[in-house]
Amino acid sequence: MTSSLMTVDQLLTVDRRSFVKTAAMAAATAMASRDARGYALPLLEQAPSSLAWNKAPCRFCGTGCHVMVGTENGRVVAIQGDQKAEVNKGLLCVKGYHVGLAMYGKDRLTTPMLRRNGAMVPISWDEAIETIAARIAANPQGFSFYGSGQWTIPEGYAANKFVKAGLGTNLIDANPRLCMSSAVTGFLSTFGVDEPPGVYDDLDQCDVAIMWGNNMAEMHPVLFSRLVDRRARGEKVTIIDMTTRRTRTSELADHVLYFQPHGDLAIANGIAHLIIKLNGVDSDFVKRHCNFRQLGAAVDANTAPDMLGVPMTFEEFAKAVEPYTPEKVEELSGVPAEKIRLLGELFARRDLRINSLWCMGFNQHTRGTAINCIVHGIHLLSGHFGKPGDAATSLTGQPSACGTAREVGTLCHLLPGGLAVANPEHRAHAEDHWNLAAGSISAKIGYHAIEMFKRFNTPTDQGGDVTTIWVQVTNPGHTLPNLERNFLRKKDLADKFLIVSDVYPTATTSLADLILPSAMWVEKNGMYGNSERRTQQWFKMVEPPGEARDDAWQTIAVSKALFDRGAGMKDKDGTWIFHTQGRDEQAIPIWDWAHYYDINVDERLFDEYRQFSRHKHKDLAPYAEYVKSRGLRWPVVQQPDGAWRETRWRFSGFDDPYVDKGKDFQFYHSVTKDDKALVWFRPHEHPPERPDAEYPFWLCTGRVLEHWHSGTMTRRIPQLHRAMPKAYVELHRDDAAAIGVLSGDMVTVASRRGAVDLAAWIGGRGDPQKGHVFVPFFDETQFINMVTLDAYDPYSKQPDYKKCAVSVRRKV
Amino acid sequence: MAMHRWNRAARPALWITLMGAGAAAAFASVDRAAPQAPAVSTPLRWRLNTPAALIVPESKALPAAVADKFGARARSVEARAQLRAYEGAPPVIPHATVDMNVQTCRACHAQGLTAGDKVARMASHTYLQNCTQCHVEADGLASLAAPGDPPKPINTFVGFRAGGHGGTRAWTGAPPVMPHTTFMRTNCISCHGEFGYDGWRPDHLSRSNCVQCHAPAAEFDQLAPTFGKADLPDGLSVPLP
Amino acid sequence: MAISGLVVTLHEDSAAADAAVSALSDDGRVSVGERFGRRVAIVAETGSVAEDRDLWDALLAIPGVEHLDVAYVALDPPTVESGGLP
Repeated sequence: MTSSLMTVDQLLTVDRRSFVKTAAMAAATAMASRDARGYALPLLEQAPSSLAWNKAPCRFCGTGCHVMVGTENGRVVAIQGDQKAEVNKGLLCVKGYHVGLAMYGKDRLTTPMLRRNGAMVPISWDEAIETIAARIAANPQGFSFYGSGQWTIPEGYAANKFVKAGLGTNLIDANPRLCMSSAVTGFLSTFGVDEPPGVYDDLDQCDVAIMWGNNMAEMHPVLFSRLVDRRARGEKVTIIDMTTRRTRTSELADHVLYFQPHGDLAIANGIAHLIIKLNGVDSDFVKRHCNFRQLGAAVDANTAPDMLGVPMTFEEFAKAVEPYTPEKVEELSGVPAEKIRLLGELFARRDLRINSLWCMGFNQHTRGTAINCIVHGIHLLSGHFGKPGDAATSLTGQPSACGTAREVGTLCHLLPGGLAVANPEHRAHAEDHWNLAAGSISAKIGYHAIEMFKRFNTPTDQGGDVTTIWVQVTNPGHTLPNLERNFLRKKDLADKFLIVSDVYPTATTSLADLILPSAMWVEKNGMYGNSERRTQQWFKMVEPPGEARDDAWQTIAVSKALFDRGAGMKDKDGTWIFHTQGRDEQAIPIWDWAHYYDINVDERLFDEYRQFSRHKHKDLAPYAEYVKSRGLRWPVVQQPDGAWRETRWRFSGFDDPYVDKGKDFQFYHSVTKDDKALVWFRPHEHPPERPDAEYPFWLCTGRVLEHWHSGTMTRRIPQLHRAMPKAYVELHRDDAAAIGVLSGDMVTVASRRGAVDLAAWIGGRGDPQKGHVFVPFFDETQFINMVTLDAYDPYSKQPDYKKCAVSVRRKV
Repeated sequence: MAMHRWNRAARPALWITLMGAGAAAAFASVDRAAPQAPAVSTPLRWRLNTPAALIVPESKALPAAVADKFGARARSVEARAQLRAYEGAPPVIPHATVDMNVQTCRACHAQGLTAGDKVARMASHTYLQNCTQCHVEADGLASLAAPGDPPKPINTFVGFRAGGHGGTRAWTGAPPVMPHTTFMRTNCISCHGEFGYDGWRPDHLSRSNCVQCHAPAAEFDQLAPTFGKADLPDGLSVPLP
Repeated sequence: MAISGLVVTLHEDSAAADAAVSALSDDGRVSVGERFGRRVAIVAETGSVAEDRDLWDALLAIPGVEHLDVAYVALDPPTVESGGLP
C-alpha cells in the first residue's frame, strides 16, 4: 500500500482515525522494506493558517511602534511586533502586545443615543446628524470642536476644515493642549518652527542620555529598552535620571538626581552657568548660529510678556545665569551641588554626545515654555546639537499629537502645516488652498481647551458663550484638571449640549447629550504621526461593531447637512468643502455611509492636506508612499530619480535637503529671520501653589506602564487590568509612619478643589521623596483630577498636573 | 551543578524504583561534565503522569517517552496557552514580583530551575534588560486588594492558538521542522530542554546545536510573523488597492 | 485509543511464518500490510494503552513471531473517562 502526501482537502475530508492508520501502515511498511524511497509518511501538516496579516502603528503612545495585526474571520486574533519597522524592530511593550484586545470590551458603543428626559435613548444616524446640524446652525459662534492627539490625520484635517473653512471660526482645540503645547511653544521660540530636529537614531548614538523628569522605562518602554539594551552589547551609555521620585527608570540609571518642583528651571540654568564657567561654550557654533533672547517687561500683573521677547547679548546672558551657581541651584532644586557640577562637566565636553529626553514633566508645567526653551538653549550653547546622538528630544504621549494636532493645526490658533491664524500671509495661503474668498479665515483666535470648557461650564448669560461642544476621540471628563470647575458644572446647565464620539462609555459620555458610536483603530483607515516626525499609514482590517462609524465620516456627514441648510460649509464658488468626485467627474456621495468606502477618503483628504506642508518645510509625501513604507520622517523630499527620501536631522547640512549647500547648520525658520536659533534666558520661578500648613504635601500625577491615559481601552483588556487593577497613592515611608498609615490603608488626598480616597502603596513601584505623593490618573473610579490645579503656562495654555498642594490623611 | 542534582533528588522516589538499577546508574551519571547518550530503552527525564499504569515488567513496557508523548505534548500546549492572550503574546507572570528591580527576574529565569512542583523556564529570547516592559503580573497589586475594587473587564477577544502538532518532515525519519519561527525563540532549551515542557523534550538533548538539524518550516518567512502565510511582498496579506 | 504501526519479524521457517501471518490476519485488532520476506508491516488498533500492551503480549505469543518493532505510535489525548490515560 503506497501512501502519498495528503493534500489539505484530503486531510479535511478523511477522519483522523483513517488518517492515522494510513500513517501507521506507511511507517511500518517503510521500516519493513528498509526502503524509504517511494513510501513517504503522510505529513502531519498543520492546517494552513487562515490568518491575514497587515501592518499598523500601535494605537497607544507617541513612540509609534509598528505592529503586524493578524485577523481571521473578521476579527483580530493576534499581534506581532513588526520586525521590519525601524522604530521598534519587532519589539513591543505589554500594551502593544495586547492592543488587539482593545476593540473587544463587552460594552462597545454601537448605536447613536440622545438624552431625552434624563435617559439615553437609541436614535438613528440620520436623526443624530440632523440634531447636530440644527444645533450648530442655530448658533455657529457657540459651537466648539474638541479633538485629540488620537485623531487620525485625516480625521483631524476634516474637523479643522469643518471649523475654519466651513464655519469661518477658530473654535477648535484638542487635547494636546493638555500634553504637548509647551513643547510646541518651546520649539517655536527656539527654532521658529515646531517639532524635534532629531530622531530616535540619536538614542543609538548618544554617550549620555538625560531623563528630565520623565519615567521613560514605563512611558516609552520600547525606546528606553532600545537605549539600555545597548549596554548588553557592551556599549557604554551613561543614563542620568532627573526625577522627583524613584521609578523603574531610576533602577537602570547611573545617576539619580532627586529634585523639587520647578527645580528643573534652576538645574538647566545651573548647567548654562557651568558651560560658560568651564569654557564649554561652542563659540563658533554660537557666533554663527545663535542669538540670545529674554522676556521683555510684563505689560501688567495679569498679562505675561509676549513670546517674542527682546534681544540680549551673550555677555548679558552670561550675567543672567551668573547667580545660578551649583550651590544656589542646590538650594533651589534640592539636587546636591556636586551633581550639578557633574552635569555641567558633561555638557562642557565636546567629545560626548548628549541626548536630553523629556515628556510631561516639562510640558505639564506652569513654566513649560520656559523650561523647554532653556534645555534647547544649553544644547545649542554647548554645541550638542544636530549630530547623531546630540539632541534635545521632546517625546510625545499620544500616537498622533504631532501628526494630527500639531501638524494639521487642530488648535484654536493654528492652520494646517504649521501656519498661524495670527499671520495674514498664512491665512491667505489657507484661503488659497481651500479656495475661499479672501478674509474667510477668521483672524480671531479661538478658545484653548481650558478656556473652552470653562466657558461651557459657565451659564450662558454670565459669559458662557460656548454652548455646544463636539468631543471626538478623547475623554475630557476624566483628563481635564480641576474637574469640578471645568466639567461637572455642565450638569446643571440645561441649555448646554455635549456631543461625544467615542467607542466605550466614559466619564465624558456620562454627561453627554448625544453619543455617537465610533470605529476604532483598524476598524477604519488611518494615519498617525509619532514623536520623531514619522507619518505612518494603515488600512481598515475589520468591521466596526453594530452601527459604529468612522469619526471622519461623522464630521463630513454633519458638514453636508449644514451645507444643505445653507449654513456655511462652502468655498468661494459655492461648492461644498468636502466635495469629492471620481475620475468621471461625478460626485461621490461620501456623506452617505453606504458609499463612504467607495473610495479611500483618507487618501483624498491627505493628498489635499499635504499641500499645506510645503510652506514650513514639513513636506509630506503622497499617500501612496506611506502605504508602501513603515512610515517616513518629514520633510520627505522627492529625489531626481523619483524616490522619496525622508529627513532625519533637520537644520543639519549633512541631512536636511532644505539647508543651503555648503552650510553646516541653517535654522531656516528663524524667529529673527537670520537663519539663527534663539537661546533663551528664563529665570527660575516658584510654582503657583506650594505646600503650606493646611496642605503640606506636593501632589504629582502621572501614568503607569499598563494603562494608557484614562484607561478606557486598557482597563478593558484583562491582562492589563489585572496587572494594574486600580489607582493608589505612593507615600514616603516616614510620611506614612507620621500619619499612621501602612501599605494598603485607605487615605484621603485633598486639595482646595476636591478630594479622593485611595489605597496607600508604600515601597511599591515608585518611591516619592519625603513631603511628596504620587497618584496615577488612569482609574475612572478614582478621579485624581478632582484634586489637580488648572493653572497653566501663559504661552502654551497647558495646565500643570505635576504639582499642587494636598493634605494626606488616613481615612477613618 | 550542585543545583541540578538537588532538583533531581526532589523528584518522586517511585520513579527511581521504576527505573531499575541500570537506569539509575545512567541517571546519576548524566551531568554537564560527562554527557552520555542515554540508552534507548531507559527514559531518564520524563515525568510520568500515572506511574501505576506503567508498573509492568520492563520488557513489555513501551518506552514511556513514546507512550505518553502525544498526550503530554497536548497538555503542554494548553498549559502554555493559558498564560498568553494569543500565540506569540508575551506570557503574564503567574507569581508576585519585585516591582522595582527587573534584574531579580534573572535569578530564576536566566538558567531556569524547579522549586517544588513549579518550573521557572529559561527565557526563550536573547537577553533584554527591561523584562517588565512586556511581562506583567497576572494578578497585580495583590497587596492592595480590597472589597470595593473595580470588577474585572469582560472582553470577547479570542486569541489565535497554535495547532501544537509536530513539525513536518522532509522524509520519514528526517528531523522535524519547527512549527514556529525563531523570533523571540532563539533559546531552544527554554521549552525543549531540561526545564522545558512535558512532551516537548527530545531524546537527544546532549546534542546542543539544535539548529544544525532543525530549521523553521519553509512556509515561514523569517521576517514575517510567527505563523501564517507571508505570500505577499513585505509580509502583507492584503493586496494594496 | 492507541494506533501503532509495527514490523513483525517472522521465523525463518516458511510454514511457521505463513501460519503466523494467518494468525495475525485473524486478529480483529490487526490490519496486515505488505510482507517483505521475513518482515511484515501491520497496524494494531486498540482502545487503550493497556489493551495495547495486552496485544503486544498476544502477538509475541503467536508461534512464528520472532520479534516486534515499533515504527509508529499515535495516542489519543487522555480524558477524564480514560482515567487520565490515552
